[in-house]
Amino acid sequence: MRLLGLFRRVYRVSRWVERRATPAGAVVGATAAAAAGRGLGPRLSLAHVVFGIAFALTAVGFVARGRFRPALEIVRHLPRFVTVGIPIRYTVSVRNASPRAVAGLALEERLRQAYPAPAEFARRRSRATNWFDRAVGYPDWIDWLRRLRAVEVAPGPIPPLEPGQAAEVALELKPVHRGTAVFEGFGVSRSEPLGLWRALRDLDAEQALVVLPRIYPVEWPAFGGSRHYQPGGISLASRVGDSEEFRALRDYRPGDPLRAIHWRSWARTGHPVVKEHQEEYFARHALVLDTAAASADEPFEAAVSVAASFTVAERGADALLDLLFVGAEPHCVTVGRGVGTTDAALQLLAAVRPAPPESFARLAEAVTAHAGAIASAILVLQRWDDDRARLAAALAGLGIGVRVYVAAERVPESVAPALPHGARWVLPESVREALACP
Amino acid sequence: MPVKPPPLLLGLALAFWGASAGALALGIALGIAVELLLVAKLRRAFDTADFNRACDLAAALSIGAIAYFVATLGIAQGLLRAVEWLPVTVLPALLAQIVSAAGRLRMRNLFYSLRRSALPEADRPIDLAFPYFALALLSASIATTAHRDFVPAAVALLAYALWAARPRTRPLWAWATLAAVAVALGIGLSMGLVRLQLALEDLAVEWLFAPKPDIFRATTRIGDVGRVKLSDAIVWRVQGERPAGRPLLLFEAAYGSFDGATWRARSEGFQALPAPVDGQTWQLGDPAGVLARLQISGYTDAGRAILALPAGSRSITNIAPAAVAMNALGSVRIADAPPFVRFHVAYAPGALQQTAPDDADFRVPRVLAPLFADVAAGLAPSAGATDPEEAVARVRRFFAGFRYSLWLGDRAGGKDLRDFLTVSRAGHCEYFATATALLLRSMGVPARYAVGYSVQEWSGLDGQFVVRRSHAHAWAQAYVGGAWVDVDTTPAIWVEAEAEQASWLRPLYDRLSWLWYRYNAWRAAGEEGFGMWLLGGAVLVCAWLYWRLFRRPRTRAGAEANRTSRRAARESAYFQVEDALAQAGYPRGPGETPRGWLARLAADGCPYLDDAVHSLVAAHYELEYRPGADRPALLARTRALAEQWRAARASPGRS
Repeated sequence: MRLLGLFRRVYRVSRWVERRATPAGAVVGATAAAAAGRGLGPRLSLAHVVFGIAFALTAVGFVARGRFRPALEIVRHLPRFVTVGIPIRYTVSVRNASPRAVAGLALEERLRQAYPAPAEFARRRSRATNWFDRAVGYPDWIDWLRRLRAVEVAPGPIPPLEPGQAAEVALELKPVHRGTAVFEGFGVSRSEPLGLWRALRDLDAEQALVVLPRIYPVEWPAFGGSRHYQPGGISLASRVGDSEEFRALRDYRPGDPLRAIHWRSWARTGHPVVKEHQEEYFARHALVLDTAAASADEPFEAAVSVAASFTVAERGADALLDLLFVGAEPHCVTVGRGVGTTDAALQLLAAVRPAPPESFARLAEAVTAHAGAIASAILVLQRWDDDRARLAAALAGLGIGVRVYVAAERVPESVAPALPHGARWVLPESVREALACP
Repeated sequence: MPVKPPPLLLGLALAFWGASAGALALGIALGIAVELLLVAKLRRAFDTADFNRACDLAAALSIGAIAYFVATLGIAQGLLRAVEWLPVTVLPALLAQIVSAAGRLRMRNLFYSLRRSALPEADRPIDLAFPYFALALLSASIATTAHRDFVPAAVALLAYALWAARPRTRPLWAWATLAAVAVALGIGLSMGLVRLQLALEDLAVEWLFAPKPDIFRATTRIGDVGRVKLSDAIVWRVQGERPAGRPLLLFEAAYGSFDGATWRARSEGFQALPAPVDGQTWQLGDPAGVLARLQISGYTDAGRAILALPAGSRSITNIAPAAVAMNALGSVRIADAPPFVRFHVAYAPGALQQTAPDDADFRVPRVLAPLFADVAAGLAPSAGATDPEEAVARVRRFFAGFRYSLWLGDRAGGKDLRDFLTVSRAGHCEYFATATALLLRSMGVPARYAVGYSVQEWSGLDGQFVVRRSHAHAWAQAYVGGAWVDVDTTPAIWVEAEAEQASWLRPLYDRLSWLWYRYNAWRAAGEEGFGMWLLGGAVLVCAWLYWRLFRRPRTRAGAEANRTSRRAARESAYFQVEDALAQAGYPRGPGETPRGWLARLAADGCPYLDDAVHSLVAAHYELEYRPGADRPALLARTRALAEQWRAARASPGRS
C-alpha cells in the first residue's frame, strides 16, 4: 500500500499547484520544464534563453503573490439535498468587511477529501481503458476521490466590492456521487499582476450536503396483486403510535369491546357510544435492496439507483412501500400515505454502503418475516445465485408478485439457476433502459 | 465559450519560428493561414471522431518527422530536428480547434489511452492556443543559435502573450514592472547558465572521463588482441574472393619496436593522403599490376576508424566524404566519416608496401636477447647472416610443433615468452607473432608485429564474409627479398578453437546485426529515395485524412454505432404510429417513455388512443428491451397492431 501513500502525496502536490497556478502559469511552467528537459547545451540552441525567461517569470510571479488577507464575511446558502446528475446553482453571500475596496477575487469551495480504504481500493473494478492505468490505478484513485467528494463545485468570480458592500455569488454545483459532501470552507484567491499565480486564502465555513442517488423514470410494475387487510390500519402499518384511527362513532352494540367505548360522547349523549375503527385494505409493496457487494462500484450504484427510482415512483394513492436493506443490521423503512417521507428513504439510500456477503441471509430472513403483509416485492440484487433464487421463489410461492433486478457489469453468457419471468439485468450504462422495460 | 487567442499572436509566432528554423516562407504562410482562419467565420461542428482524426494526423506527421530525421541524421540530431518541426507537424490539431464550433479539444482527443475512457478527466477541455505558442517559441529556440536576433523578438512575442493573458483587475504598471524584472532576470539567468555549463563541461572532461582509448593503436600490449577476442560482435563485412589456400588477413596496424611487453608504432604518425582526383578513389600505392578487389563495410567510432585492409592494398574507392590518412607502416585511418562506411579495395595479394626496415626492425629487447639467441642458434647452427627466405622457412617449421591455446593471459614479458618458447610451447596468436618477429630478428631478418583480422567465416545470411572481434589476429611480417611478407605461424587450428567458444546467443545477435547492417546499407544506398518515399507517404496520409475530415458525407463514426441499434429499433411499427401522432399534434417529449407519453395523451384526452395503441406499445417494449425476445414475431405483431390502429382511424365511425 506504499503506492497509495505515493498517490496521496502526488495528489496533494498536484492539488496545491492546481489551486495556485493559473492556466497561463501552467503553460509558462511547462515551457520552462520542456526547455530544461531539452538540455541546456548553449552551443547547439537557445533553449537556455527560453528556460531562463520562463523560469524567471514563474519565480517572479510566485514572489509577487505577496501577502493576501482578504477580510470577507461569507455565508453559503445550500439546499437540503441534491440528486446525482442534476446540477444546481446556489448562492453565496459575500460581504467586504475591510475598509478598502476589493476587486479581482475568485471564490472556490473547499470540500473535505476522504480517501479510499486500501483494502476496498484493491478490490475495485478498474474503469481505466488501458493496461498501464489499470495496473497502476492512479486514474481509478483520482476517480474514487472525486466520488468520495460527492460533488464538484466550479469556482466563481466575486464582483468588485466597496467597503461594507455585500454581493451574491452564484456557484454551480454538480452532484457526481450519492453520499454526503462536506464543505469545509472557502478559498478566496487573487491573481498576481503577471497572471501566472494566484494568492490564496482559506476561510472556514463547515456545512454538509446530502447527495441523493440518481433517479430514473420508472413505472410501478402491474403485478395484479391483491390488497391485504391491514389490521389497525395505517397507524399500525407505520408501526408507530397507537391504533387510534377511527372512521365514526356509533351506538354501542352488545359485544363491542369495552375499550372501544367513547366515554366523552357517552357523557354527552347519555347512552354508550363506541368508536368505529376504519378497516383498511391497501396494497403494501416491499422494495428489497441487496447490499452484499465487494465494493461500491458501478453495478452497486446502479442497484441503489434502481431502488431510489422505485422509491419515488408512482405507486397508486393508497400503496405503502417498505424499503428493506441491510446496513449494520436489517432496516425496514415504510414510505407512503403520510407515514414516512420519500426524502427520508432517499437519504438512507444516499448513505447505503456495501455489506459483507453473509448479510444477504439476514436480509432474506427479514423479507420472509415480512412476507405476510406485502402484495408484491421488487428485489434489487447484486448477483443471481441459489440463495437469491430461493428467496424469489419463496415469495412467489406465497402469491406475492415478484420482480427481480440483478445488477451486473455485463449480462453473463449463461445463467444458473434460471431467472424468474420478467427479471431484468441492470447494467451501469443502461439503467434507464432496464427500468423502462415494463 | 471558446477563448480566441489575441490577434496575430499565433501568426507572429509561426513567422518567428520560420525565421529561426530557416523556413521563413513556410512560417509566414502558415501564420497567415492560421490568422485568416481565426478571423473567418467558417466554423464546423466537429465531433469527437473529427477531433481524434485531426490529432491522429498531427501524431502521424510528428512520428513521420521523427522517423525521417532520425533515419537521416541519427538519433540525437534527428530528435532535435523533429522537435524543431513540431509547430508544423502538430498544426492539424490547432487548426481543428480553430475551425471547430466547440473551439476546444478534450483530453481524450490528445491521448490514445483516454480515447475510450469513461473517466471524467478524459473530457477535460484543452485550449491549444497558448501551449502552441509556447511550442513555437521553444522550437524556434532549438532551431537557432543566432542569439542577437532571437532574444529581442522572443521577448517581444512573450510580452505580447503575457499582456493578453494578464489579469485585468491588477494595475498595468505592476504588470509591466514585474514582466521587465522577470525578463531581465531570465536573460541574466540564461547567461549564467551558459557560463556554468561551460565551466562544468571543462571540469567534467578533466575529472570524470578517462582519456578515450587509443583507437589508432599507437601501441599494443600482448593480451590486447586476446581481450577483444572475447566478443562475437561483427566489425567488418567483406565481399569478394578469398585468396586460395590461405586465410585472407586484413591488416590494421604494424609495430616495430618491442620493449618486452608492449609493441610500439613508429613515431612519425599519419600523413593525410591527397584528395582523390576523381573524387572517389584514394590511391594507397602503385595501381599497376593484376589487382584483386574486395568490398568492405563496417562502422566508425564517431566518424573515426582504422580501416582493415588486405595486404598490398593499392586504392580504396567510394568511401564517403572523409579525411583519409596513412602511416609509414601501412595503417590507413579515416576521420570525419559517417557512422557507416562501405568501400571497395583494390589490392595486389602478397605484396606489402611499407617503408624499408630500419634499426628498430632488428632490435630484440635486452632481457629476451639471450633466450632468442639460443633458440635461433638451434635453428641456424652456422653463424652469420642467414638467407631470409630460409630463415622464415625454418621459423615456420620450428613453430609447427607448437600448440594453439586459448589461454588469454595478458601478462607479457620475458617470463611468459620464455615459458611459451621452452616449456609450454602453447599460446595464442600474440605469442606466436611476437616470438616469430623476435626470432626472425635474432636470425638477422628484419621483422615487425602486425595486428588485424582473419577473414574466415562465410555468412549465408549476409551473402558475404563476416569479420568478428573474435577473429582479431596477430602475425609477423618479415622483410624478404626487398619486400615485406606476412609470416603467420599460429597453427591454423585456432579458427576452430575460437569458434567453439562462440556464445549461444550468437545466432540472435547475428540476425540483429544483419538487420542493422541492411538498414544502414539501404540508407547509404539512397537517402534521396528514402526522403521521397516518406514525403509521398505523408502526402497520401494527409490527403486521406483531409478527405475524411472535410469531404465525406456528414455521417459520423461515433453516431454510426448508435444508429445501428436505433435503426434496428426503428423497424418496430410503433414508430410509424408515434410519427403519425406527432403529426397530429401529439409529439412525444424528449426523455419521455412511450408508456408515459400514452398516459399523458390519455390525460389530455387525445382522441386517437385505443387498445391497439396500448398493445402496440407493450409489444414495442418487449421488442426493444426484453433480452432474447422473438424479434420476427414481435415485429410482425407491431406491424399488425399499427395496421389495426390505422384502419380504425380510416374507418368512417372513428372516434
